Amino acid sequence: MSNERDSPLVIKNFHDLLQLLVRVHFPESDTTSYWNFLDLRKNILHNCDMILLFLQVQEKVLPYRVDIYAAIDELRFDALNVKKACGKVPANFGRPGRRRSVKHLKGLYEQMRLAAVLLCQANSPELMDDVARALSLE
Amino acid sequence: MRDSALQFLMAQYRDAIQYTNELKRAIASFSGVLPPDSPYRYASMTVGEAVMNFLDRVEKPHTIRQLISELESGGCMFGVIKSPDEIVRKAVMAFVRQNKLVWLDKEKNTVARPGWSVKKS
Repeated sequence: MSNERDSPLVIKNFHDLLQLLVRVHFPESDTTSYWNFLDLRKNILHNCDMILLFLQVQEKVLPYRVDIYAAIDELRFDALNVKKACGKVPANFGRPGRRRSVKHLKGLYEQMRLAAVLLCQANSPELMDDVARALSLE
Repeated sequence: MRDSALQFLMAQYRDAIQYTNELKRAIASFSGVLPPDSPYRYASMTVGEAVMNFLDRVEKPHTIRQLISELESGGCMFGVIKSPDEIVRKAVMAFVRQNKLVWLDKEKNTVARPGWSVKKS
């Protein structure tokens, strides 16, 4: 992992990725207020960006095998899907009293979590549970 | 007391990592796969690779439950947080998206290689 100020962030392995992921706290109910949603979205987008950065390196270092590339493609597909869902905010959502459903987002995030566990199983199976915990929905 | 305990754990951890890496290299030096009745036949495979390997060998559609049972009996690693059902489904979905596997039913329970008919099951 490179975190020097002037150099781009390079996430070489799952150990590095685990250090950079943040906990995402989904609300217990299916809806959330505007400000809570913004906070939730910030953390989700951070994790998606870290995963996409990680995948850039994995494509180059992992051996070319159909199963591994299927897992990489699946994780990228899911991470981009989550980012897309985060970007959809209704224009009048900021008005007081308005609440937003996060059920759909929660489902997509869970799919991304599963895809990350799957890739980890291919690469570092000893870290599978750590990855599942780091991306858990609290 | 704390330092000695931590030092002991760190030493054990380092030895375990080194041993794991040596085992991985030793396993990789062998070519081919284990026989179909070995309890470790899928231990070093990814879930996707194990599913494809099994389906190519038996050449018959199988349900997710049957795949899980086969993979578990072959020593495939699933971890403890996510269930085997979720992991196997996700692996199958990844291959379905790449047209390497297809669902044979609407409920997404039976999986096959493209071109296999329902009758084959």
